[in-house]
Amino acid sequence: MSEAIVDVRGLTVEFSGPPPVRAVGGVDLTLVPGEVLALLGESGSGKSVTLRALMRLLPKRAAIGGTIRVDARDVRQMGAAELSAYRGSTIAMIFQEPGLAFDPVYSVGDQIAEAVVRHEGAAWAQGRRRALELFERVRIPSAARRLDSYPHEMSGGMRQRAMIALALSCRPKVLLADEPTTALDATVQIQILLLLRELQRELGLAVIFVTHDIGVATEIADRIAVMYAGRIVETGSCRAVIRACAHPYTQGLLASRAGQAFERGGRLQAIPGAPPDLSRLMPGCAFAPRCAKVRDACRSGLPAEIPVGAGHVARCILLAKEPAASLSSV
Amino acid sequence: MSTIRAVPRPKSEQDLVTTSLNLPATWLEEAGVLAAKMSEAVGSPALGLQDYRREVQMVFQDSYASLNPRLTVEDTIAFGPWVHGEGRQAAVARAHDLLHRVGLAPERFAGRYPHELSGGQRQRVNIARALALQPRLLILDEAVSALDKSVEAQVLNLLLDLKAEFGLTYMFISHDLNVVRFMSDRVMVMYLGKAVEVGPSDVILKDPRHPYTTALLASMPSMDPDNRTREAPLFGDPPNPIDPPPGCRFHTRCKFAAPVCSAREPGLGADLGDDLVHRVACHMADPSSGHPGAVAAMERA
Repeated sequence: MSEAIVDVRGLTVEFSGPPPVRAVGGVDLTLVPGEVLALLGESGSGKSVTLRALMRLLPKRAAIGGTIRVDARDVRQMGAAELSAYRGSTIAMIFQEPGLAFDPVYSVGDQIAEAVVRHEGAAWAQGRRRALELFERVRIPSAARRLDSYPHEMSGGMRQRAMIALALSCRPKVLLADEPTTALDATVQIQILLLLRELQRELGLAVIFVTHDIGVATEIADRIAVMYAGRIVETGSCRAVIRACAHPYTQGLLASRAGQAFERGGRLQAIPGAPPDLSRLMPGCAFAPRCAKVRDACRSGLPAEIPVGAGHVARCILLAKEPAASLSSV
Repeated sequence: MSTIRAVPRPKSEQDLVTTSLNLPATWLEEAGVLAAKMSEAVGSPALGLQDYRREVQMVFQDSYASLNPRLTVEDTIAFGPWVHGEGRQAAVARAHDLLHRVGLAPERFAGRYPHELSGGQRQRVNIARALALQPRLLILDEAVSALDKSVEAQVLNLLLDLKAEFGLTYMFISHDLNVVRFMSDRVMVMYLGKAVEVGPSDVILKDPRHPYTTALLASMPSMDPDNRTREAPLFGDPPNPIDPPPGCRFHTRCKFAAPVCSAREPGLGADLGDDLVHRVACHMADPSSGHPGAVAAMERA
């Protein structure tokens, strides 16, 4: 296994109040070059905030704790100049709504060329050439003509392709994707997922892909990390998490989605209740109030990471009591 | 008597919301008595808007934007019956009863404002409000799309319970085929403002006949890590609805497109199935269309 390119230890993010909201409560993440990690979770689970912390895109009122190392550099210590060089050439991000991420008053080709000129000191013509190459790479039809389009002149799928081209324009090593297919039609979503998978493989990118959709995570990820209430509750290979998930929350999510769950005439297995209020988190496991297997001990301390298989860990105290061998692992 | 219809469609066709309030009468044939009334034009003297909306209620996608932030949950639900002539006390009693039925204890929730509720709770209030006038038809426009997955399952179960309890008919608009399969008896698949296929949901989801329906089903992400999707079923985006393609609106993205497809628009043809109506708007389903694929399709049948 090669050296980690992203190494996050004990990341916490707290938005100042009132009341203060602890959006991320201690996240550990590692990513090696060429690996795709899906961060799976519901709204408010802290997955997008984690991603933005990696780019230092959070507002000033967000207090960040822990260490964030990307490409052997300490992201939290970076000054303004270092940070703007870091963004784009080491790490880049694609967003859920490309219509909002592009500047509406410049053509898409110029926006890509500008990034190349700004980061690599290239000539304008060279920047435009790179933009054209990238447009062809992300398979935008009639690429040369489309460079002069404004964002509003493109369809949703094409805008997302252009967004990917912009993100790749300065040859980043890490690509962050924040629900990039959620706003797209089903038939367009699968095209974008396949394109991302192809580019990731060809360019050897490390990717963190945030999604709430288990199907999308299964399509794209090597590893899946499941987030709940600001913490990662389970991490493992895509196969292990889908086939042999260990945490009751992951089990509940899968039971309501996978396989034959949606047969007509049946009932869906729903997790009762709603995700907790992050400004009023109780001590102990955040999932305890909704968990069918809850015990008294769940409410007293934060559950530790317990190995349940090769490279597969979950934070649930019930797993400690049972011998690990009795759990199926992949 | 009570039938759920689901209408999957690309997200870009949200404009259906406005047209669906003027449903053609034929869509409502199973709703019994309602159908007789609905054969009148909505808004005509025989069927005034107020009467119509007592029978047909709607639940919207955005649970927050569709509630008045300055009304308590109780007032929101009681408002409709009160406007329609019910006494204040009776309307509030109805509101409490409905809150109870949608799984929100009235003693805890009746006095709350929308911002004091979670998304799932707000959508339960919206459902209770829609039921307050005892409608026969409920239009659910992406009513669960904005909810977290773990909460979505709760609300879908609730909708099925309420349907059985009140004998309701649902028109369920969704882009999530899993939800469509779970909820619906019949499905109408729409593309760029036109119905391309309509029929019993188990038939359409197992044996789709329109190339767009087939592609839509094949576009669902795989849930099997060892068997991921290799090739996207369709290339490109849906065309701009301001200037839809001539003939069949899907022909620009269809791999079976023949000259006839851009020349003539296919209608929803004759029934393909045995007893329940399964119709498809594709030249390939019509042997007389002149589409080269039509002959093969006929042989298959």
